[in-house]
Amino acid sequence: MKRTRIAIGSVTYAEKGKGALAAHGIVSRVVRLDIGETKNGCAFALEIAGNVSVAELRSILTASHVRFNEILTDELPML
Amino acid sequence: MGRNPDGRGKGWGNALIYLDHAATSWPKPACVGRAILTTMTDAGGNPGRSAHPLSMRAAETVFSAREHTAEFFGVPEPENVLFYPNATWAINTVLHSFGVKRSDGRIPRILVSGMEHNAVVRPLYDMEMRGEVMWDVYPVFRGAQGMLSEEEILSEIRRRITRDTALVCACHVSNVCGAALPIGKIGGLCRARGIPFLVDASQSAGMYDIHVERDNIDYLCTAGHKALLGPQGSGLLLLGGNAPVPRSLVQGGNGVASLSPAMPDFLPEALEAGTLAAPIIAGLDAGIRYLSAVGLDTVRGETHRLYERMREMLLSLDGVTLYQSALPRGTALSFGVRGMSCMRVSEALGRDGICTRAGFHCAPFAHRAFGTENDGTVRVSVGWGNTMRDAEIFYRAMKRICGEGAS
Repeated sequence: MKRTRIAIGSVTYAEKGKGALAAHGIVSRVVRLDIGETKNGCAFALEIAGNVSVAELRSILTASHVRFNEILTDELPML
Repeated sequence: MGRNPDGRGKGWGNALIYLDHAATSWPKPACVGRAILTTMTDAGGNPGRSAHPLSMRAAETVFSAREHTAEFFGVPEPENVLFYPNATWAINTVLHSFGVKRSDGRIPRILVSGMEHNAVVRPLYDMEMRGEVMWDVYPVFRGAQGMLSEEEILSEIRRRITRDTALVCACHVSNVCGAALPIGKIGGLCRARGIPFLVDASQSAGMYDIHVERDNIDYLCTAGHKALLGPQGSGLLLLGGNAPVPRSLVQGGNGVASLSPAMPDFLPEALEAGTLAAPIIAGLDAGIRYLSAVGLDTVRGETHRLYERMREMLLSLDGVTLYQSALPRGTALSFGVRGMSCMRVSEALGRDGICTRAGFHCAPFAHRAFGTENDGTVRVSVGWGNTMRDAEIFYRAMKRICGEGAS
């Protein structure tokens, strides 16, 4: 199963991004990024389960003035 | 929606007539207390620090408050809403950011109105003593009984702007006499000259329609515990879309980029260090939502009807001098009683359970304009909790006191 995480510097922008995505029907949740996934220490991410277009995410977040760092995608192991 | 949904507090019943809203509003709507308690119990984590549910709920609470506040005041983005303990903190944050010598060695000048509070006057005085700024005052009062016209005020500002003017400040509404400055017009003048504009809205936020973008405000500073009906310990700094970002008055952790010794370079975390007071912020948010539900026009209309009635009452009393401004007025009335000190009058009212404030109200310029810098004034200030019954009780007490004063 695909997982997308949008790395975001602050919980403020994470909450703002969550609202912006929700307005486009994309459900996300705010999580902390793991140690080693960040360059400067504590940071947050918006996690989205399932298939979403990275280009669409960028477009929504940029239009909503949400500062984000990078978009990470990976596959979660299936049982 | 009830006008006074909290009653007057279980301990007080109807024993108090509260006429000190310019100091802080009382009672608060019930939703304010509930929001504080709910945040402490159900969202009691540290916002923006951890990933557990209590911390996340706290972060959601704070962000929700940013969104509502931005909408209420016409602020372009929620991250431009900064939460501080009071208006003084917000004002100091901005003023101290302008206390920087220019590259050509010239000292910046700050232009302030003739009715500023000590929240503006004292930091400027301190900065002047350090050689960081120079400041000028544009007059707004015409003696004890009137104000300059809007055009005259704008003209006084224009006359004082120099190439070194770095910031213009306006106290929106006087906490002494309720006089109001035309902030939209002053904002337009400043925007046309490219000069940042600070408004101290401590006496007007929650009573007047203020829109940061429409009114060309760069820095809107206000208390949250007055007409916004939030708890004490709440204050706001709201940044306009074109505002140069100030420096944080304090530095510290905020859950962002923890390995960097520098404060983050993005809002709001660039200007918020240390744990946010999430329960207090939730209380302020509840106050703002309450006002939105009732409607500012309703709040202002009813409060001003009461204000005008009390003004008429005071004018009808022999021996009372009312220090009044031209329209439009806010919610504060200042007066003196012949033959009595302001403290004695306020104490006499207090014996009838009527809460007022006597003295100088932290606003030295207004008292110099009124000629009350030696005697001070009694101030009554009305708010959303007051009714016509309060005005009638106040009037009866004043009639008795004026009889005492003349004897």
